[in-house]
Amino acid sequence: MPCLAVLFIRTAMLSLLGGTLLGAFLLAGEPAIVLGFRPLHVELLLVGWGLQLAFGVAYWILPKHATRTPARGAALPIRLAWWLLNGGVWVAGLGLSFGTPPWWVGLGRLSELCAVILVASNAWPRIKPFGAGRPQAGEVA
Amino acid sequence: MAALAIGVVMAVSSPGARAGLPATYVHLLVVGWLTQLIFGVAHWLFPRASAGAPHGNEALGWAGILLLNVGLLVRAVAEPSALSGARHGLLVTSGALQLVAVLLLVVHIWPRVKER
Repeated sequence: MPCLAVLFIRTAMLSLLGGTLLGAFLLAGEPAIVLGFRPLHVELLLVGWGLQLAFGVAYWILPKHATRTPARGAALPIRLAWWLLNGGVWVAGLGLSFGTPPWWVGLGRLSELCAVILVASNAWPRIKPFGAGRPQAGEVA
Repeated sequence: MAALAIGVVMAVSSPGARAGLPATYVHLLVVGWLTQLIFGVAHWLFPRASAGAPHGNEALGWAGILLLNVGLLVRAVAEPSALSGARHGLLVTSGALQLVAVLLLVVHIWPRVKER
């Protein structure tokens, strides 16, 4: 498993723990201060956990490039995507929880969108039929 | 299946009768289906913990799955009637069970998320 996949998957599990902890307090209905944090609970679990885990597993397990290096594509955009995704989760989640102006929440969501575009750009060429992209017999790689 | 069955009930019942059901529906899908499926696939697919115990500490996984499902069941029973009042204790219990379950499952899988 590459180190970036480890980073995504472990952060996803921490988001799951944080989101579940918040959810347990929400379910208990106390302390009163947590009751406004339902949006952060949702953001942590849907984006911070579900989406981030999918990104980490995809980066690890999708077919590698047969003839290009690095075999999983450039690492820098994926590292940037980690920052954008997690920054977006907290900006949007806290923004919705504290009732900040819409542009603030929009900034968080835009950050998440940029992360998705970066990860999708990495994954797209790696989603291919079995054997595609490999040099044929007699062809110089 | 339970979540989708609740979805059918929500679709055909009156707004008053379906109070509390949407939250139960969402959590059965997201926790009972998605999160549980993720941990099941992770248990199968992730790199081995060690040569002697490739799946790591399986007792943690079993305890996590058990507590998660008991917690969900308690919630599914308590939440639809929570708006009428006296189910607070059950909801607190459900939240605590699910939290401990998630902690156990994360502790179980964490050592297997590693570089080769």
